[in-house]
Amino acid sequence: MSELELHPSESVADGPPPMELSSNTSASSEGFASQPLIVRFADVGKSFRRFDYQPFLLRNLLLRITGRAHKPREFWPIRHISFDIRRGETVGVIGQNGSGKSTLLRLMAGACYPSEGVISVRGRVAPLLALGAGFHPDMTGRECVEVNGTALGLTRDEIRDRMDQILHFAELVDFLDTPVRYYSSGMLARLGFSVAVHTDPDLLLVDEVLSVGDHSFQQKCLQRIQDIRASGTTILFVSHDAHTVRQICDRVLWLRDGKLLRDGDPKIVLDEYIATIG
Amino acid sequence: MQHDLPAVIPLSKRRMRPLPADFTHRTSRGVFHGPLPGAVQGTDAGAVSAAHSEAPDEPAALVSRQSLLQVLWVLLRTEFRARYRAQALGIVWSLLNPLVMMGIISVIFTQLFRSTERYFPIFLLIGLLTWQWFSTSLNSATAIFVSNADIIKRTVFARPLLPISSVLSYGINFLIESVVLLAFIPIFPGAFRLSPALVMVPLLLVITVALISGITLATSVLNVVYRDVAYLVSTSLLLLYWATPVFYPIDVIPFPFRTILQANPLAGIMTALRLAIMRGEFPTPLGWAGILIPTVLALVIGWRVFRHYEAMVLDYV
Repeated sequence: MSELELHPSESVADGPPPMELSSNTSASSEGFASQPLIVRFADVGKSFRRFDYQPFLLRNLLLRITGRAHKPREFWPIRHISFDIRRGETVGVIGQNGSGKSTLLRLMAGACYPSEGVISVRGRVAPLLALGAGFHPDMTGRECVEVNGTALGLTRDEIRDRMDQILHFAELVDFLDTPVRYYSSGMLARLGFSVAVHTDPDLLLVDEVLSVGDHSFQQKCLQRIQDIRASGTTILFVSHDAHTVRQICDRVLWLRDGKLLRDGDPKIVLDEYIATIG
Repeated sequence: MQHDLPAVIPLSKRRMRPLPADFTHRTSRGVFHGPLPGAVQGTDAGAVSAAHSEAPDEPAALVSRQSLLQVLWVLLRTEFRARYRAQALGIVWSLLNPLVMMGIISVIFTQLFRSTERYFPIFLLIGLLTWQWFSTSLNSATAIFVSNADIIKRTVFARPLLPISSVLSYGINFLIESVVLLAFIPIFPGAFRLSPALVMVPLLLVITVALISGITLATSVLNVVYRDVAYLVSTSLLLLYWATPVFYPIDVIPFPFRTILQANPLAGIMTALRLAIMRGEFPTPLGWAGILIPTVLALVIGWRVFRHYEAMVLDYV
């Protein structure tokens, strides 16, 4: 583990040298160097207040007034992250629990703001939604598609045109007027995946979807991802599963403890990753 | 997981889609739109620095092709439909509630205590319907970000629309319930006055939407950071119920207190609605002031509180 950290990427993890990094990036994904940029993370960090410190609670307020309070503790799920993604790339993000993968994804989707640095994204971004929770449990599958499609930036006409495709892909045609609270978690996940992949995104953010659904549905998702790649969509693929990442991705980002440990060719990075986590 | 993966399409065979020229830049200081500074398209960029364009603070939702009105419409329709789906009687419940209240309070105030109002049931029904709209939408819109955490967490959503759509959907309820009011016209023909003052009714409804929206913009974001707000709201509503002339005319209140009540915009709206429907009169200048000043204040303060806490909502929800 310690030998691994002696690589040049050590400097990537500690300092923010964007120049060095972008040259590193283009080397690792040869064919994409001529493609335009679609995402740039420039020294991005995100901090949260730790929730063991709740500044608004009455007890803490009293402590603060009497001057006995400690400063709020900050927690940085990711920090000093810099990378570029070019159009058409399929980038895998790997790392163990707590390495900052989900925060990275949320930041890229624009669902929260960075505390440091700049995130630049263009085009239509489609994050995969965990459906079901939120809104009304009495919404039908069809209404769920409408609301979530709207949340992903589709117009009403676009939703109407794609409704059949979406429900058909999710294998939920028979349940389109059933309230989603009667859906199983697998049905919800299928619907969520189906909505996201039918939005024609420029950038698709895929988060652990392939852990749900049976083998044939997973196969269908992978086929769809391949089709989407062929249409030039950029994909960010977050997964624990090194095998699928190796098959799909042009490039892999390895996060550890909120730092970008490696950024490069899937074969090299994944071999190292597997060797490290054992 | 072993999958037989279809062959990877070589880069040269892919149909690359054109990208918009402008990026959305997100920083801790807000959202900006514009080209990537120092980056020539398709080449490796030089220095990475904070990017600013001429149009700062543009809401991110405007980037997409959809219009805010469409988003509002989808939210409104689904919320309204889903609300009554699992109920056998559906909207009948929200008609029944004010009617029962009206019956009980009418009996108390016409038989036990003498009310000065001639058409007390109508007077009361207008008050009860308005009150029900105000209190239910305030309660549900305050909790809206907490109950919709999932979508807020993952997408760039036109967030102000969520509380506003809740207010509007209860406004539709109000309109449907008002049909009951029409049913009373043959019973109490003297209580309704056909006059030019009826144009006040739609105007007052718009003002009510603005008032409740302003309040809920603030309470909905604050409720994410301090979950106490939902309780504070329901307790305040309890107090406000008695400070609003739902079942008494504002004239019966002695003078120093009446001024305080007139600062309550809901009291002003209720009084103006009754004046317009039952007497065919427009509000007095003081009545206008009591309606418009608090409503404008609620909108301005609500919007500022919303913008101030919006980013925090994303971290806390």
